[in-house]
Amino acid sequence: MFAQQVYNGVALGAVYALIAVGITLVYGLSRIIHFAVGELVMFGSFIAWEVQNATGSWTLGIIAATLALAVAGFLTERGVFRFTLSAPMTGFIVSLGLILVFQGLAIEIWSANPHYAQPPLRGAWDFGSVVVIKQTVLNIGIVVAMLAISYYILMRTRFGKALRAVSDDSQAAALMGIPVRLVIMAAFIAGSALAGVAGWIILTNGSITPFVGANYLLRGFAVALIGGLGNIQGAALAGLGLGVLESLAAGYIAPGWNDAYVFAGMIAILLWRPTGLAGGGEGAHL
Amino acid sequence: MQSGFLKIAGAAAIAAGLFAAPIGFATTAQAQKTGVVKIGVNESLSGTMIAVGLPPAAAIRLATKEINDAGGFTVGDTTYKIQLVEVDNQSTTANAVATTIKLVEDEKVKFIFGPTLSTLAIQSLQVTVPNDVLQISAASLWQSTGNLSNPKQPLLFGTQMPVTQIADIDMKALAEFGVKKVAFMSLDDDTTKSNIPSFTEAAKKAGIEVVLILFPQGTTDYSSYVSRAKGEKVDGIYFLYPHIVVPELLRYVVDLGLNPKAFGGRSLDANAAIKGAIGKPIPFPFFATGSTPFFQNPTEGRVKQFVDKLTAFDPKVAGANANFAFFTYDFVPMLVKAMQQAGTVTDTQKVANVLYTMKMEGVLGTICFGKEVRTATFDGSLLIVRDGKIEMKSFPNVCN
Repeated sequence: MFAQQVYNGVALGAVYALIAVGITLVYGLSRIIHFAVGELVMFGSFIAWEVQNATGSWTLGIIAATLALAVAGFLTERGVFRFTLSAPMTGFIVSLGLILVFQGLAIEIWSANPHYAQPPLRGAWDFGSVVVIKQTVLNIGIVVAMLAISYYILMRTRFGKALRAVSDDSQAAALMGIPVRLVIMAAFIAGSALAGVAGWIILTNGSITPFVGANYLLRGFAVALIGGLGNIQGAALAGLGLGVLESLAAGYIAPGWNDAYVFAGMIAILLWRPTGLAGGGEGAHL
Repeated sequence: MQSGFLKIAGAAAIAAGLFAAPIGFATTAQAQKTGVVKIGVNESLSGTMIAVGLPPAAAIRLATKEINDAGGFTVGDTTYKIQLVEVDNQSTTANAVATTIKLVEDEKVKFIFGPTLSTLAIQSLQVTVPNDVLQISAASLWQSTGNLSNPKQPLLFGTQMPVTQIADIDMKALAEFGVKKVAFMSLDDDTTKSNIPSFTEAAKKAGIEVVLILFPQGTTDYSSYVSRAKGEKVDGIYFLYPHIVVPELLRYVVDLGLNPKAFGGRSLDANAAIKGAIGKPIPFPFFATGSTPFFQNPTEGRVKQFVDKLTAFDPKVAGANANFAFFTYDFVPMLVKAMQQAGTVTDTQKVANVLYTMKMEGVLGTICFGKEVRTATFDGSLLIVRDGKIEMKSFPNVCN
């Protein structure tokens, strides 16, 4: 059962990692703690459900969720967050308000009742002590691909270099001719698009409601902090670690205390290394 | 002369009018004496548990509309209409208390429905009990914590069937399927914990070993919990709540190869077992104890009629939580009848005295309360799904 729970944890943690990377991107560039990211994930789930339900295509579902959330990222940055860039704390408060706005909107559109769709891949591979649900393999694969693309863009492209420059010192970057506002907008778009993908994955796991985002938000932030804000590898490792921790707790000890384990672990790590596990390393910092 | 006659006639007419008017007024007032009875509705109309609060609130609105549209109800020489005073507790305990205070102290309401959510109902009664308010709720925590059998709280009425009765039926059903070791899966909260003793006791009587697997609020991936059940080598699963996760839970049970002898629980949605969870019937027996009829699978004419009526009245009532509508709809006319029989719309103890002993026919069948334990009982059933086909078994109604 131990190996089974570790695998379950990896599948669970992959989603946390994906959400954490989105959080990290936005924070790294704007210094805004974007708490409404959980609601963006929720919107991603509902859009995927809507498209899948209408067309029967999960592929269209993930494309629609990603694109729609990218647009949502653009709109929220242009419409709201760009006015708070000089005061990130205001941006944080605004994001708290957006949670309620987005939840209310979702209840109006989709009602508070749960929405469920059978995932595209059914069945499992039985390896004796470990049963691997096929859908989880696809989900992990998608997360790995997303993280790899994010890493590549950040470390190997001119755009990534611009992102990192803005993250390190936005004034110096501006003096070098980097369009800082444009780069920040791009971070919001990319972070939101990743939330769309995460929403699709969550829909393949089970039922969604307008409140599903809250479950992932705090874990996404915990992962981003444990991994070191602005660090993609750190987020990936912390996400997997957290997922495995949760799964082992569910399998062997009192799962009702899962939140306590998660946040006690986060506090301990941050006391030990205030910049996160990989915060001071050589990772892909923004 | 003519002028004098007109003056006298005019004065006589005015005098007659003056005398006649009060008599006429009195006659009209006696025939049309009307009044309003305020009934409070304290439900989760927003917040995380809105899906639980909406169906019972909608059912109360429908029942009230039907009573008012029929002209109201008469107590003594007065015809009353119901005025609903709805408050939204936003699914939080703090607000549940505040909204109850608003109903009791500001609105002077003497009859309250809700909250349906146990954790809120248990807080709300702290306000209603000292103020002699008659409160009706489906909260199972009221049963398990003894509020409905406490003689010092005689105005609390529960609309959910006795948990001990349901537990006995459920565990006997598991035993009939040959289950020897069952995983009791549910949300890790006070409601679940208050239910556990009844179920473990019933399981013991049925010769079934129980493994508790509780998951925290906000769980979205059940693979670890199903894996734990598999590791414990259980041969049956009993699921308490929340009902909305049944489809994915069934899917994980199928995908992770648990293959139990039976999967069941209280008022679970049979559609999940027929097709909803995996697109085809699940490969093991499924059962749902009908502590209410099944909103999504109405089998009886009167239930189907109600389901059609309520969904037309409020299309938002849908999904697994729609069953909560049954916990209020019949109890509005029942409360009205009790007021009529008690001859009062203000003396809550007199109304309660009638409720203790009265029987009523409703959508739920024959409904009755007891005095020692003020829990409603009504027609119940056991729904079994095997290979996608539904079988129904009814269990005895203790009112009869």
